[in-house]
Amino acid sequence: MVIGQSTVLAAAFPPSVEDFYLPSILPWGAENSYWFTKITVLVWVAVAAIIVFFLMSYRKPQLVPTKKQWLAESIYGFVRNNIAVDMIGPQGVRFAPYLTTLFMFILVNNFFGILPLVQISPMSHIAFPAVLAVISYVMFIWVGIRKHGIAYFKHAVVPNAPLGILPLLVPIEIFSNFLVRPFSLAVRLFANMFAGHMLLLVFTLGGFAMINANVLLAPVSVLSWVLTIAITFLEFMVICLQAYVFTVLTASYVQGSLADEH
Amino acid sequence: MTALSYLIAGILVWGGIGWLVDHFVGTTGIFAGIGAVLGVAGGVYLIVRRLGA
Repeated sequence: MVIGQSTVLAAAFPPSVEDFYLPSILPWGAENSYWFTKITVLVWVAVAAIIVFFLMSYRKPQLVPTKKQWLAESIYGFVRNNIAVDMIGPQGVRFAPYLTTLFMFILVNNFFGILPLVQISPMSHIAFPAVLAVISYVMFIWVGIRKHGIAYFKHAVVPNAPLGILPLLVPIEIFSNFLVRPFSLAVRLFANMFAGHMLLLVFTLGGFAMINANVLLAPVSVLSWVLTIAITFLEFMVICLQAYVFTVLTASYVQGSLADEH
Repeated sequence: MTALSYLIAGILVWGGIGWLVDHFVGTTGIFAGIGAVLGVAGGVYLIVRRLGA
């Protein structure tokens, strides 16, 4: 019976990209319909959880904070002081709300990747990081234009260098500031979450594949499952780090847009 | 991060332009090579300018 069950599971080994496309929920079990899946549900759960958490913690603010208020204030304080103000300077405070929202949204969505029984992150689909990257991209350009006018593009693209060497440098600047940035923001987050999910799948399903192939391999299967748990902890680190990195890089791009001519 | 992105961007942009030149002139890679080296030089220069003292 147990072996029979694991045969079904092991049939999915090795895992493929198909494992990221979960079955449709509405309409239930529909083929090739990806309008409303577990991923969709998770994103809305994340949004609702963040809104509810921050509203609840700030409903009756106390001078001596309650535990929940302390947690919310710590998160906001961390992003405001250690990311916004550190990267952008005193005027970074006005970007703190956006950066905090971004940080929390990525963190919670990433965390679904290791939450038991959920264990897939919406961020392992390129669409979500891509949209976030586009928002950050449009924002840092907008901020630059607001601050410097159209001269922002000159400021961003033409470095302070002798005229003769500029033709060499300007294409590099255009490429790295306006083409690579949104792409690398999106791909960095997506690839980390995708690889993390894949890794967990390989170790879990690999355990089943081995125990199915030969019962003598059972100890190795158990080792593989133990490693799954270890990797889950490693994933937790990656999750926090990637949320932090995305936010810090957004802040750093905004800082670049606001910087004065040098 | 910025430094790395300048280096890679330099190689990719000028290597890519060199590759296009190769394509049109009919050579087999000499311009891509020259372009990549130029790109590294430009990247290093930019890093020093933007991030250095």
